[in-house]
Amino acid sequence: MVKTDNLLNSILSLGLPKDILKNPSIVIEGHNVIREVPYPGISIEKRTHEDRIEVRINVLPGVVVEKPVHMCLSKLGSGDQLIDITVDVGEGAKVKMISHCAFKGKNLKHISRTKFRVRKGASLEVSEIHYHEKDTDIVIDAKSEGVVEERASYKSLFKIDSNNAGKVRVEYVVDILDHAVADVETKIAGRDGDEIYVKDIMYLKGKYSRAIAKSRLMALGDTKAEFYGETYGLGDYSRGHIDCSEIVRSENVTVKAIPIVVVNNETAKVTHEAAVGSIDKKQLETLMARGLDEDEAVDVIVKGMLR
Amino acid sequence: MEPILKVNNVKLTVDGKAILRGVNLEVDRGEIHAILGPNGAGKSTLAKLIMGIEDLKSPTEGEIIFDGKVINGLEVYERARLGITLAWQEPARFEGVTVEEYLRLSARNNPDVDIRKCLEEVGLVPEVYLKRFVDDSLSGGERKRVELASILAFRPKFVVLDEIDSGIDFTSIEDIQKILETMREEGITVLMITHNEKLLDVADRASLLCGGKVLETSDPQSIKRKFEECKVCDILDFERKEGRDGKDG
Ligand SMILES: Nc1ncnc2c1ncn2[C@@H]1O[C@H](COP(=O)(O)OP(=O)(O)O)[C@@H](O)[C@H]1O
Ligand SMILES: [Mg+2]
Repeated sequence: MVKTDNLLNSILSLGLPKDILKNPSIVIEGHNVIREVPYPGISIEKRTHEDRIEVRINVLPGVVVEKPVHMCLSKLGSGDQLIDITVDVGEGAKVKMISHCAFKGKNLKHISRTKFRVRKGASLEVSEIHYHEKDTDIVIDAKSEGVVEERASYKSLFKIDSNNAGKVRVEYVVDILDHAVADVETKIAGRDGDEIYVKDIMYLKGKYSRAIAKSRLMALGDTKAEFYGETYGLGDYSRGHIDCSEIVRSENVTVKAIPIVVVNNETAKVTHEAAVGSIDKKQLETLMARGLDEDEAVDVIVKGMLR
Repeated sequence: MEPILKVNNVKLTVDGKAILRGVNLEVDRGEIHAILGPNGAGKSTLAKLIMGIEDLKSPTEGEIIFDGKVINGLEVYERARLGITLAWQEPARFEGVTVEEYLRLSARNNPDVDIRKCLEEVGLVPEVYLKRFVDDSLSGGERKRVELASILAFRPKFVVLDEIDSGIDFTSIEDIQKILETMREEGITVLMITHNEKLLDVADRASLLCGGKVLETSDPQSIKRKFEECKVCDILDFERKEGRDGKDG
C-alpha cells in the first residue's frame, strides 16, 4: 500500500491534475494495474502478460457517464510499456475518457494499440495528454483504429506539450458510417532532438458522414515534424476537412504537411488547409513589451495554441 | 526635472528613403503628451523606434534617451523592463490565452496589482471578461480595452499609445479619457498619437510631427490649430502622395 501511494505520488508529481483519483479511474504503471475506482455501467477487464497489458473497456448500452473516466498510464524508470486497449461503447451510451500518460526516465518505449467501436447513436470523447519529465528519453507509438457507427460521434484529442515530446508516431484510422461524426485533433510541441509523425486516415463511408482531422505541430528546436492526412469522401453527401498547421522556430527543422483528399462520390466534399509558418512577430513583441523575454513569450503563445 | 524621454536629432532612413529627418522631442515626467501630424509623417515609426519593435532598434542617427539612459539598440523586453511599453493600433490576438492570464503576466512583477480593478477601470466587467480568450472572439473595442487594462496591470513608467481611439466608437472616447486620467494619477507618462479632439482635451502638451521632424511643441489646442492650418504639412503630405503615386505608376 505504501509502495502504491509512493508510486501514485511520483506519477502525480509529473504535473497531472490532483483530482483525477477522485473520479472513476484506472492507473496502470508499466504492465500493472495499481489502482482502480470503478464506475457502474462500465466494465473494465484487464489481462496482464509478461510483455504487455490488455485492457477491455465496455460501456453498456444507454449508459451516460457524467464524469470523465480517467486512465493513467505511466512508466517511470526505463523499459517498455505495451498496451492493447479495446473500447466498445454500447448503443446510445455516452462517455468521456481522459488518458493521462506520465513518463520519466531513459530508454522508455510506450506502445499503444487501441481498437474502438462507437455503436449506433453513442458518443465517445477521448483525450490523451502526455506529461514527460525533463530529459525523458522516450519513443511513443500510438495507433488507434475504429468505427463510428450510424449517428454516433467520436472526438479525440492527443496532446504533448511538456519538455521533450520524444520520437513520436501517432496514427488514426477511422471509419465513419451514416450520419456519424469524427473529430480527431493532435497537438504536439517538439523540442531539440524530437521527431514527430502524425497520420490521420479518415474513411467517410456513410451518407452524411462528417470528419475533421486537425493537427497543430510546433517545431521549437531542432525537430522533425511531419503530418500526413488522408480523407476519403465515399458516402453520399459526406463532408471532410483536413486542417494542419505547423509552427517553426529554429533553423534546423524539417517540417512537412501533406493533406491528401480522395473523393469518388460527386455529392461528397472534402477540403483541406495546410500552413507552415513561424510564430507571429507582433504576438511576440506584444508580450516582450510587457517584459517577457523571447523564450517566455514563445512559451505563452505555444501553450495557448496547444490548449 | 529631467524629461523622462528625450529624442535627440533622430534620423531614420529605410531603403534610401528618409522617414525621420532629425526628430527632437522631450516628454516630461507624468505628462500626457500628444503627437499630431499628417498621414505618413512618421508618427508610428517614431513610436516603433521608442519601443524597439519591428526591427527598429536603432535610428540611423541620433539618440533616444529614457530615464537618463541611451536605449538605442536595446531589445524590446529590455526597454519594457526599464518601464517602457506600447499599445498597438491593432493589438495582437492570442489563441488559448485568457484575459485573466494575459493580465496576470502583465502584472507578474506587481504582486499588489488587482487585475479585476484594472478591468473595471477600462469599463469591462471582470466576471464577464476574465475567462474570455484574447482571440478573435473579442471585438476590436473590447480588445483595445483589454490592452489598456494590461497596461494598467503592467504599471509602466512610460507608455506609447498609437491611435488608441481608432476603431473605438464615439461613446467610448469618454472612457478612454478616464483611462488616460487614471494613468496620469498613477504616475504613468503617456505619449499618445491621436487627432481626437476629446483626447487632446486631456493632454498636457502636444507636438506637431510633419515631414519627419517635430515642428513645434506647445499646448494641445495651439498645436491642433497649427496642424489644421499647417501649409508645410499639406505640401509635404501632398508631395509624399504624389511621390508614392509616381513610383507606383
Ligand atoms: N518598413 C518601412 N519601410 C519603408 N517605408 C516605411 C516603412 N514603414 C513606414 N514607412 C514609410 O514611412 C513613412 C512614415 O510612416 P508612419 O510612421 O507609419 O506614418 P504615420 O504613422 O505618421 O502615418 C510613410 O511614408 C511610410 O510609407
Ligand atoms: Mg500611424
